[in-house]
Amino acid sequence: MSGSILVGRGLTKRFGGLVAVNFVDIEVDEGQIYGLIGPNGAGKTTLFRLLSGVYAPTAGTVELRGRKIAGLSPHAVCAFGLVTTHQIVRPFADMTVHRNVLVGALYGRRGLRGAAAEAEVDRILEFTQLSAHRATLARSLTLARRKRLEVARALATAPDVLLLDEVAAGLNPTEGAQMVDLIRKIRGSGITIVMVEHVMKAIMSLSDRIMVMDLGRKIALGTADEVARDPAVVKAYLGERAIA
Amino acid sequence: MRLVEALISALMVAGLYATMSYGLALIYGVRKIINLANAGTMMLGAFVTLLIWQATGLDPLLCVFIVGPLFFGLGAVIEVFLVRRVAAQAPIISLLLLFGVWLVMQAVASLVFGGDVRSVRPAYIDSVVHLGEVTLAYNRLAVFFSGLVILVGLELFLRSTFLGRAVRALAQDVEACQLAGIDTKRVSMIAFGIGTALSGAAGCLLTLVFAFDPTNPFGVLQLKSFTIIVLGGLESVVGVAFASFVLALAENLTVTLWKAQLENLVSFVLLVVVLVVMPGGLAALLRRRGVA
Amino acid sequence: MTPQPPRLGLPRWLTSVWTQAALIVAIGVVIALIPVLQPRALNLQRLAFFVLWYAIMATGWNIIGGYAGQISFGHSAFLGMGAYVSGVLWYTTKIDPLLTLPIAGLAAAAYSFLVGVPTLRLRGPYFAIATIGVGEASRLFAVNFDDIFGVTLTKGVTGLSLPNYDAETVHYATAAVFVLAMLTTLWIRRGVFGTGLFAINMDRDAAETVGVPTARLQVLALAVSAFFCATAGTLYAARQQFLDPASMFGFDKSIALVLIPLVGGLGTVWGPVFGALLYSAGLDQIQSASRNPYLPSLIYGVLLVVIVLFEPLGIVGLLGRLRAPLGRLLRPAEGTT
Repeated sequence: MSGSILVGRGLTKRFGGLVAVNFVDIEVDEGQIYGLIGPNGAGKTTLFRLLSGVYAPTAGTVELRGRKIAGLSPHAVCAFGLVTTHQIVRPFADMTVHRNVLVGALYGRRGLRGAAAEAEVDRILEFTQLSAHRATLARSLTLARRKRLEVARALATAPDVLLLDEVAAGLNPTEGAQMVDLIRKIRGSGITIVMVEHVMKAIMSLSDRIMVMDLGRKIALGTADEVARDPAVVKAYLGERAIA
Repeated sequence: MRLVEALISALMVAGLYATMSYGLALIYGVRKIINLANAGTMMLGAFVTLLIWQATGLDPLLCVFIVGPLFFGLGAVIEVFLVRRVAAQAPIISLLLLFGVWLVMQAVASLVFGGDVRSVRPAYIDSVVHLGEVTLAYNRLAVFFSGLVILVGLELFLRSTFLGRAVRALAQDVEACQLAGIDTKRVSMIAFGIGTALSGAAGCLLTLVFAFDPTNPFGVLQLKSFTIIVLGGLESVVGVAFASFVLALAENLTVTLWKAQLENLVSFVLLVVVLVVMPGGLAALLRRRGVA
Repeated sequence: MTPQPPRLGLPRWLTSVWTQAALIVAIGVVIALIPVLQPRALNLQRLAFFVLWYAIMATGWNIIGGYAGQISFGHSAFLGMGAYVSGVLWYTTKIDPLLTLPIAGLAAAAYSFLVGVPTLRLRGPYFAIATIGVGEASRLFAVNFDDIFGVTLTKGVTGLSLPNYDAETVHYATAAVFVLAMLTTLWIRRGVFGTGLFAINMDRDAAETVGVPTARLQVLALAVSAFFCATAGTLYAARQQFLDPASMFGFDKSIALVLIPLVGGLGTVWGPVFGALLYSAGLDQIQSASRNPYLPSLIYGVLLVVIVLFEPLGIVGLLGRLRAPLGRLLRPAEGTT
């Protein structure tokens, strides 16, 4: 349960004149839940996309179990064991829940086929409490269930590291609590989780370690309590006057 | 001297190309829809001009004043009754729809006018103008200047009038427009109408330069328009002008330096290359250097 | 973008892969037997040829256009390529054209790879426009081929006249290629490859993140579709014994290949077949009823608009709407895939 599984060094991403991520180091230990917070525009989602291969970094490296993955295509990154969910959920709208997850099982790391793939899909639907909606089209699901579907599909790829981008956003308190339970269950099964969140209750209660970003840089790192009390963090969220 | 002639010749053609591409560029800019029916409306514009000229002898340059408003109405109708229904779906759907509209327009024109090649020949069709040692065809000059007038008029409209600015705003952010109290549905319809009016007007002007039938040369010209708006940036009128010149020059060079028949082949290859290499077009390139 | 096929309420045994495969082979055999059972019915043979011909091409097109959702307006490029590769080989080296069928197919697949790798990165409408460019460029290239390379191979616009060939043999070959095409599309649709293509169709980026190698699958889909369109070209060369760029690389063929799967049912296995049947038989009927050469395109244009507006799944979609009344006739059963 020790050792870093995902390491980013000197990650920088520039869009024209704008520096979205400015020389950030990140070190995630295996089996951890690692949280990423920060005010809007801090660069959290961009950092996420650098880690998952959607963006190629302007500078810096990303290593998954020592293997360089920066700039690889997302499907190659998935094959190495890292998968992301999206901020705005993107299920395969005209496919059933079952088929959505099946795609992950077929094309994910284990490349399952036939009966083995079906068994895995069943297991994951059970795990994410979506079995009852197996035959429903993704476009007909409620938001909460679509979010769980997104997670289920990602789990079907048998990842080592799961990146969750604002997975609790838009959920009511009950649904949010369900999502938190699901995330704990996922960690329990041995998957490392990195999550970006604005819903403080969720991320503070779940994370073993939290990084705070602001304006593209890391401004704090520590446990939930440490970070909550850090004056730099308070300043970033609430402004100068809150300190004084 | 040959170089100067080549450049001026390219410029004349560019004026023509720019005129026919404006309609496409405007509609794409505002609705993010690729109007494949553009070829159809250009063709109908040419045939309406033919009818008017045959009946009244009215010069095609003046026919623009009739065709413009008429086709504005046509565009508005197409937008309201057809395009609007599929606007919420994937862009390929509206592409297919407008493609169908183009097919219908071609078929109707063929049924009504037959497949024969037509032309419009006002008195000055064969006149030339001498500028020093360079000889220019009068009709091409007329088309070039008409195109220029339309370009300037369009820019003025888009920058100075409220409606024009509403159209540009709609091209940027639909929700923001709604929040600002702009009737987006009405502005959409108007934008489509203007775009269609422009391509109808282009059809008018084209009669002075090309002989035509219901299918030729509009399909080919439409593809050249695509090349132009992708090369020039789909949202920039100035970009369209630049790109028109680039394409005209490339074609001209192909004809003089290689083989005349390959002119269109070069345009199509350029289309594919441009689509693949420059999704933002010239305008994006210009914007990055702080020009457009 | 391709909508989910409707639940037709057909019994399980009917929709199983094996039953469908058997059905395909059976249809192929029946059609192949036409010259044997009705040797005088030349018109029927001609009609059968063209229905199968369009079905083969439309089925191929459907793999990239329907399953993967990348609508191509330029597939006549592959038809023409196949026709001319076989035709020119036949003309110059006297090789039996049906023997060159696989070569024509592979040549077109290679060409599709060349144009596909850069253009398949484009999204929906831009890819469609690029394919218009590719289709037209291919046609012009074919027209000017002899001039460009200083040879006399394709005979350009005048057309290439080919030796005689036994129509019956072509008929059997066409039926065989049809069966092959249908089995291929069935296998793709029901298999892992098809699931991947549909995922790309729904959301390319999301598919990437869960491990679907989108570029690779799209290129492969295009290659398969090009292969089958090219085989149709060879068959045409053998049957009609005359090739010219205007018909082989014509934009009208590309349009037909978009229309047929759309009318029949985009992204379904049998849709292209229904569409081909309607298109060929329809064209035949219209042409015998009216001498007007422009009536067909008017009807097709209107059909396209109507389908896009009201029933994106064409005939298969309409069948789906009839399900409720039909369901009372058939046994109640679970839905299809």
